[in-house]
Amino acid sequence: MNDPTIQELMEYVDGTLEQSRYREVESMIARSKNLRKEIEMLGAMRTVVHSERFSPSKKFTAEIMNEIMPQQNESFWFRLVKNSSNVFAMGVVLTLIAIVLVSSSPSSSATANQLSTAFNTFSDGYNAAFSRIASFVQEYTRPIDGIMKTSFAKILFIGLFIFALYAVIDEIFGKRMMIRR
Amino acid sequence: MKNSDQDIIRRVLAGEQKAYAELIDRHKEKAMTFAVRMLKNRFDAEEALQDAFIRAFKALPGFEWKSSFSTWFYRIVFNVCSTALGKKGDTTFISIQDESDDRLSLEIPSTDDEPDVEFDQKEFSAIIRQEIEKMDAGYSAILTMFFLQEMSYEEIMSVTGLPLGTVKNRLFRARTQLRTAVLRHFSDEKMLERI
Repeated sequence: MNDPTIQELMEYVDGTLEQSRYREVESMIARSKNLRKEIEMLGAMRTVVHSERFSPSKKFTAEIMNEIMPQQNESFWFRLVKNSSNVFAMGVVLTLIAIVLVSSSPSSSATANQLSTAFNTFSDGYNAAFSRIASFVQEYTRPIDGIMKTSFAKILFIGLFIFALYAVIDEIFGKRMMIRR
Repeated sequence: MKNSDQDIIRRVLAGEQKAYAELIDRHKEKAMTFAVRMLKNRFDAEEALQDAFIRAFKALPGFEWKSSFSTWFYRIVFNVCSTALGKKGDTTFISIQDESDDRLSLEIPSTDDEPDVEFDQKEFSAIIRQEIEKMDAGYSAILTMFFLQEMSYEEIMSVTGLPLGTVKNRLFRARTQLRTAVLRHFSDEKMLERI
């Protein structure tokens, strides 16, 4: 009976050694301290490899889920800030436009009509309304040097500043609150 | 009762996408260990694993139940890690070479005239870990699949696409490398001569 090869001892430990040879090897192991040491070492090797684990970071699952379905994983606070800032910014812009229209129009009735037109077109589509309002404002705000000295221009400037500030808060603060990679 | 992978996948495919988180939690630790063993770097491993989980999610509707989710998923992890290794210039899995090993037939004497070697368990574990760290990805990955994931040869073949002989040989070489390192550490030169 040949001594077992290292491959056979490995298969013995794995339980994949052929049945007939298994018995022979088993009886040799029972008689040999040297082989028992080998078996012990191979078994311990298996145990060490089996037991050592690496864990990913704590946010691992959340980050993947956020990639898969980002909307559902945005936190309540993020959605609140995101939506409220958008609504508020839109409100500020519309209010400022209204102020500009009212304070700069030659007659109140004409202003009312223009304001109504502006709001109607706004509801028809942001782009169309924006271009109309822009051209309207441009018409009544020339030359710029003079306009900048008026109070409504200052309000407009402050309004745009608030809008920009909110856009920045939304972009930075909102993203921080959202769980992202 | 704990849901099986199959139950979770059915729920995900039925529209309950949140259930995928259960599948991630169930497999992430072993898969992370596998990725670390291949890439030798925790950061790269985590990134590769995230990519693998996202790819698996997208491919889930095409999962045909021909194998277990685990085997199918590890194939994705393996491919992602292999690509990452390829970018680094490590082509362990691509290289075709003669992998026959004479040491397969090396007999271990059953006589007890060899010097007795005592293993300190902590030291033993530390050596094994260090040696796996140094091991080529092609060997450590197979060793991990076999010991940690307890995959069969067939499953490892399915994951890696390697033939049976290569899988067996790489596993043998990996174990021999560990054994050599342990003996080198604990025994004298006489002991090494018979390796």
